[in-house]
Amino acid sequence: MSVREVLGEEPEVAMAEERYRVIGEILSRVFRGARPLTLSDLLDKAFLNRYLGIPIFLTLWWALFRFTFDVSAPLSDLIDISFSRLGEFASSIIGNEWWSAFVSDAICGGLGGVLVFIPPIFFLFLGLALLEDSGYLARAAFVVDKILRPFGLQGRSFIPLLLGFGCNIPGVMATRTIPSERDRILTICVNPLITCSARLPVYVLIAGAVLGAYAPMGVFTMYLLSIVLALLMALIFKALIPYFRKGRRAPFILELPDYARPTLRSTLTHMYERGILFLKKAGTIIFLGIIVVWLLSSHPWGAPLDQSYIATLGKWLEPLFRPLGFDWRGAVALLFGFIAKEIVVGTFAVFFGLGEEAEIEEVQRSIVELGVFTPLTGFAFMAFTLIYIPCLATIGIIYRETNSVKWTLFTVIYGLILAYLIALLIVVIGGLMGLG
Amino acid sequence: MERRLSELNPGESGIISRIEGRGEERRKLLDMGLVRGTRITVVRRAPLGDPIELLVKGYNLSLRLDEAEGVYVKPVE
Amino acid sequence: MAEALRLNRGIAIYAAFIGVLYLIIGLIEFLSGLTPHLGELPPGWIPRDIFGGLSAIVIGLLYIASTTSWRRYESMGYLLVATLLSAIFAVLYLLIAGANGLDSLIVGEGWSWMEDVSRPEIWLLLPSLPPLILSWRMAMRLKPEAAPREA
Repeated sequence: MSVREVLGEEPEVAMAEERYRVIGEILSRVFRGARPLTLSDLLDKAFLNRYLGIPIFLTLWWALFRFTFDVSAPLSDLIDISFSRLGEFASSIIGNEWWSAFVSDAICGGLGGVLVFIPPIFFLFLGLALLEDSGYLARAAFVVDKILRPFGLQGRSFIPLLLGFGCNIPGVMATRTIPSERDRILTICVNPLITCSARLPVYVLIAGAVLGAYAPMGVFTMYLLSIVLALLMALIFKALIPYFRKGRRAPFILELPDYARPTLRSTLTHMYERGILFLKKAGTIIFLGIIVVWLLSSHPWGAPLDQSYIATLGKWLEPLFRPLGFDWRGAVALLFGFIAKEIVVGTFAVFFGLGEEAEIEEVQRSIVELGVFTPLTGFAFMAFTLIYIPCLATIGIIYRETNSVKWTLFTVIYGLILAYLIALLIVVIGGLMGLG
Repeated sequence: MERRLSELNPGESGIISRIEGRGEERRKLLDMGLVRGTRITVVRRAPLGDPIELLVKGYNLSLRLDEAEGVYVKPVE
Repeated sequence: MAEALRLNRGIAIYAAFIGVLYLIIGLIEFLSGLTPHLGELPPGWIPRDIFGGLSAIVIGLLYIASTTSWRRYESMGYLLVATLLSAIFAVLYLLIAGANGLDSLIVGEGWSWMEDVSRPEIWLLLPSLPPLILSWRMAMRLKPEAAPREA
């Protein structure tokens, strides 16, 4: 006789029923009374309201966004300035020219490059911890789940994607609130497609230079393209990649806990633990990456930027980019964009002999005068910038969060291929339409 | 008269009579206290109609409609 | 229990008044944010801010929802969340103003503090305080007793 026949039920069902029967018996002896109306019921009337639920969610997200990026800005600037001062100081006391440049640009620049991300990340985690501990985060997932489901994502994917508009690193880190491993990795993979704030200067530069009166529309199109591509790629990965497709979908069973006042202690602990993790894990990778790129871009020693190893590499890659209409300068700028998109604008400035701190108008004038981009190839360049991996730091954090070389490479490579395809599509279709 | 949990309107209640489905999904539902004989109330639908919020054993739980389809209830007043 | 939570007519009217204020300011911020080419259209102390404007509109709608449902207990929920969001945004904009001030010290640039501090959402916290304190005190009285929440 099997267990099932004795119990007349599946063992796990019988176990669960017996467990809850005993609980019910005990409860009925110690508790009495009807369910009172609670504060949570009242709050949910508004937070989960049919019409206002989604607007309230967006409002809170906006507050979190401003809190993360605006309130933390002075600390980031402080770190940035401190490290560049420290670099200047170090280079002033080191006699050897190479060592002085290495310490000031690579070491101090690299450390600064890691640490400037710390304030927004800590602020983000502080805000997220407040939302989570108060009980709202579960409601947020409840409210937006249906929007994301057609794309193979789920309610908890929403906040990481929205945060990506500020910076992809906190975006990727925020996926930790997603319990299902598959959903989490999918959300991480498409997160770099969300256009972060560092890409905006590139759009502004190129659009302002070559798109004329259509510049604001061109920039806005990038934001639109960003959202469309992120959702579309999620859909495609979900349909085509066995890892995301196999097995049953993880059940979306979500407890909506009572609202509670977050305690200072647990909020700060949450913030600290996650923030420190970024520093320890992603920080080292970003730091090493910055040093490698410094070595490549400043050698052979003493050569101008356009003869450095990285520029040689760019020229070598030029044939690859010719179908897109980018010359070697475009190729090198994109190569530098691997480190961080902030550098792209500065790279163009250096090419035109303007120095890294040049006014954007001067750079734009040079782009037009030297004919680096036509309106069409400029637009394609913007799209390329949008789609390929945003920065070295993002690669580092994707590796740490997925803990997998495979997914990291996958994200980098599909980004490059997609960027190339879309840019090519823009140039070809635009060419057929007689634009140029 | 048995109905699927997903067919109840907000405000309606029922006693769970059986749960279909298998594996992870069913076990998770059992763990969360959705066992036979438990009274369950549909509190509301999400702003876009799905998922639904349930009141069961004094706490609030959210399920997607297709997950609630496997839960059969006998409606009560 | 639920009866005790009804708003009285005075609070309901007051909430409507604040709601309309938020709506107007939100609309101005939103519309002027959408049309940056229109020059100095709004008064200088109302910023051009598309999403900030939308947020203020949401707060306004919540106040108004609490007025239109004032005979039912839901109204208290709307009022609680409306006042909560008012407070969140007031504090947020104060923090941003402080951060901008600090930043100007660090970077060594000028700080147009009037612009930051005159943000209307900061000042709207003051008239929001009475309903905020009142509604939260009423809500705190419904501490759930030690009773199973099952009928």
